[in-house]
Amino acid sequence: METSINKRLHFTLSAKTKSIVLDVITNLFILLFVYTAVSKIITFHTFEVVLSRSVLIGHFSKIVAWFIPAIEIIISLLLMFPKTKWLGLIGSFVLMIVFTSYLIYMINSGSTLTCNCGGIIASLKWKQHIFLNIALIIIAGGGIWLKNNLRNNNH
Amino acid sequence: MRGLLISLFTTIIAISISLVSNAELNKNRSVRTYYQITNGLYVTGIPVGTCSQLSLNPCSITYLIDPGVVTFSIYNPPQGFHINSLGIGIMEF
Repeated sequence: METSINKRLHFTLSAKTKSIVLDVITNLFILLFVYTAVSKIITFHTFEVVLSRSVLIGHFSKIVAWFIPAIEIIISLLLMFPKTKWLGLIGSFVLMIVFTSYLIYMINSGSTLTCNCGGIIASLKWKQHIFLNIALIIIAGGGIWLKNNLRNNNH
Repeated sequence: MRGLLISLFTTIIAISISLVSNAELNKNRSVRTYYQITNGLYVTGIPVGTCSQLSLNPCSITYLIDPGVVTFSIYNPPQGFHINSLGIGIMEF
Protein backbone atom coordinates (compact mmCIF):
# COMPACT_ATOMS: atom_id res chain seq x y z
CA MET A 1 0.00 0.00 0.00
CA GLU A 2 2.70 2.42 1.09
CA THR A 3 4.82 1.50 -1.89
CA SER A 4 2.02 2.18 -4.35
CA ILE A 5 1.38 5.61 -2.78
CA ASN A 6 5.08 6.44 -3.00
CA LYS A 7 5.11 5.39 -6.63
CA ARG A 8 2.23 7.71 -7.35
CA LEU A 9 3.77 10.64 -5.47
CA HIS A 10 7.24 10.41 -6.96
CA PHE A 11 7.15 11.66 -10.48
CA THR A 12 10.33 10.34 -11.99
CA LEU A 13 11.99 11.01 -15.29
CA SER A 14 14.51 8.73 -16.88
CA ALA A 15 18.08 9.99 -17.18
CA LYS A 16 17.69 10.18 -20.96
CA THR A 17 14.54 12.33 -20.70
CA LYS A 18 16.25 14.60 -18.17
CA SER A 19 19.22 14.95 -20.48
CA ILE A 20 16.96 15.86 -23.44
CA VAL A 21 15.01 18.43 -21.37
CA LEU A 22 18.33 19.91 -20.17
CA ASP A 23 19.54 20.19 -23.78
CA VAL A 24 16.32 21.96 -24.75
CA ILE A 25 16.72 24.42 -21.85
CA THR A 26 20.37 25.21 -22.60
CA ASN A 27 19.65 25.69 -26.30
CA LEU A 28 16.68 27.92 -25.45
CA PHE A 29 19.01 30.21 -23.45
CA ILE A 30 21.69 30.09 -26.16
CA LEU A 31 19.03 31.15 -28.68
CA LEU A 32 17.78 33.93 -26.40
CA PHE A 33 21.18 35.35 -25.40
CA VAL A 34 22.80 35.16 -28.84
CA TYR A 35 19.69 36.69 -30.40
CA THR A 36 19.53 39.61 -27.96
CA ALA A 37 23.32 40.14 -27.93
CA VAL A 38 23.47 40.36 -31.74
CA SER A 39 20.44 42.69 -31.75
CA LYS A 40 22.17 44.98 -29.24
CA ILE A 41 25.41 44.95 -31.23
CA ILE A 42 23.59 45.77 -34.49
CA THR A 43 21.78 48.71 -32.86
CA PHE A 44 24.63 49.53 -30.49
CA HIS A 45 24.37 53.30 -30.85
CA THR A 46 20.65 53.33 -30.00
CA PHE A 47 21.21 50.85 -27.19
CA GLU A 48 23.85 53.11 -25.62
CA VAL A 49 21.60 56.18 -25.91
CA VAL A 50 18.71 54.25 -24.34
CA LEU A 51 20.89 53.15 -21.41
CA SER A 52 22.21 56.67 -20.89
CA ARG A 53 18.63 57.76 -20.27
CA SER A 54 18.17 55.28 -17.44
CA VAL A 55 18.25 56.79 -13.94
CA LEU A 56 20.06 53.76 -12.51
CA ILE A 57 22.62 53.21 -15.28
CA GLY A 58 23.04 56.78 -16.59
CA HIS A 59 26.74 57.62 -16.34
CA PHE A 60 27.87 54.01 -16.76
CA SER A 61 25.95 53.58 -20.01
CA LYS A 62 29.09 53.08 -22.15
CA ILE A 63 30.46 50.31 -19.93
CA VAL A 64 27.05 48.66 -19.46
CA ALA A 65 26.32 48.84 -23.22
CA TRP A 66 29.40 46.68 -23.85
CA PHE A 67 29.04 44.58 -20.70
CA ILE A 68 25.49 43.29 -21.34
CA PRO A 69 26.03 41.76 -24.83
CA ALA A 70 29.47 40.53 -23.71
CA ILE A 71 28.04 38.71 -20.69
CA GLU A 72 25.24 37.26 -22.84
CA ILE A 73 27.81 35.87 -25.31
CA ILE A 74 30.00 34.51 -22.47
CA ILE A 75 27.00 32.74 -20.89
CA SER A 76 26.05 31.30 -24.30
CA LEU A 77 29.58 29.93 -24.69
CA LEU A 78 29.47 28.43 -21.18
CA LEU A 79 26.16 26.73 -22.02
CA MET A 80 27.65 25.08 -25.13
CA PHE A 81 30.24 22.92 -23.37
CA PRO A 82 29.29 20.06 -21.02
CA LYS A 83 31.98 21.00 -18.45
CA THR A 84 30.78 24.63 -18.17
CA LYS A 85 27.05 24.04 -18.70
CA TRP A 86 26.24 24.23 -14.98
CA LEU A 87 28.06 27.59 -14.70
CA GLY A 88 26.19 28.80 -17.79
CA LEU A 89 22.85 27.84 -16.23
CA ILE A 90 23.75 29.65 -13.00
CA GLY A 91 24.78 32.67 -15.10
CA SER A 92 21.47 32.58 -17.00
CA PHE A 93 19.52 32.33 -13.74
CA VAL A 94 21.39 35.24 -12.12
CA LEU A 95 21.25 37.45 -15.25
CA MET A 96 17.50 36.94 -15.60
CA ILE A 97 16.97 37.73 -11.90
CA VAL A 98 19.08 40.91 -12.18
CA PHE A 99 17.28 42.02 -15.34
CA THR A 100 13.81 41.28 -13.91
CA SER A 101 14.65 43.09 -10.66
CA TYR A 102 15.79 46.10 -12.68
CA LEU A 103 12.51 46.07 -14.65
CA ILE A 104 10.35 45.74 -11.53
CA TYR A 105 12.31 48.53 -9.78
CA MET A 106 11.99 50.84 -12.78
CA ILE A 107 8.24 50.20 -13.12
CA ASN A 108 7.57 50.69 -9.40
CA SER A 109 9.77 53.78 -9.08
CA GLY A 110 7.82 55.47 -11.87
CA SER A 111 11.00 56.13 -13.82
CA THR A 112 10.95 56.57 -17.55
CA LEU A 113 11.38 53.07 -18.90
CA THR A 114 13.53 52.65 -21.89
CA CYS A 115 14.03 49.37 -23.68
CA ASN A 116 16.24 48.30 -26.48
CA CYS A 117 15.60 44.63 -26.05
CA GLY A 118 16.15 43.87 -29.69
CA GLY A 119 13.94 42.63 -32.47
CA ILE A 120 10.79 40.73 -31.49
CA ILE A 121 11.22 41.12 -27.72
CA ALA A 122 11.09 44.92 -28.07
CA SER A 123 7.44 44.63 -29.14
CA LEU A 124 6.45 43.18 -25.74
CA LYS A 125 4.72 45.35 -23.16
CA TRP A 126 6.51 45.75 -19.83
CA LYS A 127 4.19 43.41 -17.92
CA GLN A 128 4.50 40.77 -20.65
CA HIS A 129 8.26 41.25 -20.50
CA ILE A 130 8.25 40.61 -16.74
CA PHE A 131 6.09 37.49 -17.13
CA LEU A 132 8.43 36.20 -19.85
CA ASN A 133 11.43 36.85 -17.60
CA ILE A 134 9.81 35.10 -14.63
CA ALA A 135 9.07 32.09 -16.85
CA LEU A 136 12.71 32.08 -17.99
CA ILE A 137 13.93 32.29 -14.37
CA ILE A 138 11.82 29.22 -13.53
CA ILE A 139 13.13 27.40 -16.62
CA ALA A 140 16.76 28.26 -15.70
CA GLY A 141 16.09 27.05 -12.14
CA GLY A 142 14.67 23.83 -13.57
CA GLY A 143 17.79 23.45 -15.71
CA ILE A 144 20.06 23.82 -12.67
CA TRP A 145 18.01 21.24 -10.79
CA LEU A 146 18.17 18.81 -13.73
CA LYS A 147 21.93 19.30 -14.13
CA ASN A 148 22.52 18.69 -10.40
CA ASN A 149 20.22 15.68 -10.50
CA LEU A 150 22.03 14.14 -13.48
CA ARG A 151 25.40 14.83 -11.89
CA ASN A 152 24.36 13.16 -8.61
CA ASN A 153 23.03 10.12 -10.47
CA ASN A 154 26.33 9.72 -12.33
CA HIS A 155 28.36 9.67 -9.09
CA MET B 1 30.04 16.29 -29.49
CA ARG B 2 26.45 15.99 -30.74
CA GLY B 3 25.32 18.47 -28.07
CA LEU B 4 27.99 20.95 -29.15
CA LEU B 5 26.91 20.68 -32.79
CA ILE B 6 23.28 21.34 -31.81
CA SER B 7 24.42 24.38 -29.78
CA LEU B 8 26.40 25.71 -32.74
CA PHE B 9 23.39 25.19 -34.99
CA THR B 10 21.22 27.07 -32.44
CA THR B 11 23.77 29.91 -32.41
CA ILE B 12 23.67 30.19 -36.21
CA ILE B 13 19.87 30.23 -36.13
CA ALA B 14 19.88 32.92 -33.39
CA ILE B 15 22.28 35.12 -35.35
CA SER B 16 20.23 34.68 -38.53
CA ILE B 17 16.90 35.51 -36.81
CA SER B 18 18.49 38.53 -35.15
CA LEU B 19 19.91 39.84 -38.43
CA VAL B 20 16.67 39.22 -40.33
CA SER B 21 14.30 40.62 -37.67
CA ASN B 22 16.39 43.76 -37.14
CA ALA B 23 16.73 44.28 -40.87
CA GLU B 24 12.96 43.78 -41.23
CA LEU B 25 12.29 46.49 -38.68
CA ASN B 26 14.37 48.97 -40.64
CA LYS B 27 13.21 47.81 -44.05
CA ASN B 28 12.25 50.57 -46.48
CA ARG B 29 12.95 53.08 -43.78
CA SER B 30 15.70 55.55 -43.60
CA VAL B 31 15.89 56.75 -40.04
CA ARG B 32 17.95 59.55 -38.72
CA THR B 33 18.12 60.12 -35.00
CA TYR B 34 17.91 63.59 -33.56
CA TYR B 35 18.63 64.60 -30.00
CA GLN B 36 17.00 67.41 -28.15
CA ILE B 37 19.21 70.19 -26.87
CA THR B 38 18.26 73.30 -24.97
CA ASN B 39 15.55 75.63 -26.22
CA GLY B 40 13.61 72.79 -27.84
CA LEU B 41 16.09 72.41 -30.68
CA TYR B 42 16.90 69.03 -32.16
CA VAL B 43 20.21 68.17 -33.72
CA THR B 44 21.88 65.17 -35.33
CA GLY B 45 24.81 63.52 -33.62
CA ILE B 46 25.25 62.60 -29.97
CA PRO B 47 25.06 65.69 -27.79
CA VAL B 48 28.05 66.08 -25.51
CA GLY B 49 26.80 66.81 -22.03
CA THR B 50 24.46 65.49 -19.42
CA CYS B 51 20.75 65.72 -18.85
CA SER B 52 19.77 68.82 -16.92
CA GLN B 53 17.17 66.71 -15.13
CA LEU B 54 17.16 62.96 -15.52
CA SER B 55 13.44 62.80 -14.79
CA LEU B 56 12.66 64.88 -17.86
CA ASN B 57 11.36 63.07 -20.89
CA PRO B 58 12.66 63.97 -23.41
CA CYS B 59 15.85 64.71 -21.59
CA SER B 60 17.12 68.19 -22.31
CA ILE B 61 20.85 68.13 -23.03
CA THR B 62 23.06 71.14 -23.27
CA TYR B 63 25.58 71.07 -26.09
CA LEU B 64 29.07 71.68 -24.82
CA ILE B 65 30.59 71.48 -28.28
CA ASP B 66 29.11 73.32 -31.23
CA PRO B 67 27.81 70.49 -33.41
CA GLY B 68 27.88 72.65 -36.51
CA VAL B 69 24.69 71.12 -37.84
CA VAL B 70 21.40 72.61 -38.86
CA THR B 71 18.88 72.62 -36.05
CA PHE B 72 15.16 73.20 -36.08
CA SER B 73 12.58 74.09 -33.51
CA ILE B 74 10.33 71.37 -32.16
CA TYR B 75 7.45 73.80 -32.72
CA ASN B 76 8.17 73.89 -36.42
CA PRO B 77 9.44 70.42 -37.28
CA PRO B 78 10.09 69.33 -40.85
CA GLN B 79 7.90 66.67 -42.50
CA GLY B 80 8.54 63.13 -41.28
CA PHE B 81 9.77 64.20 -37.88
CA HIS B 82 8.33 62.78 -34.69
CA ILE B 83 9.42 61.98 -31.16
CA ASN B 84 9.45 58.29 -30.30
CA SER B 85 8.50 56.69 -26.98
CA LEU B 86 12.08 57.08 -25.75
CA GLY B 87 11.94 60.84 -26.24
CA ILE B 88 14.35 60.66 -29.14
CA GLY B 89 13.53 62.73 -32.20
CA ILE B 90 13.24 60.57 -35.29
CA MET B 91 13.24 61.72 -38.88
CA GLU B 92 11.80 59.27 -41.37
CA PHE B 93 12.08 59.95 -45.06
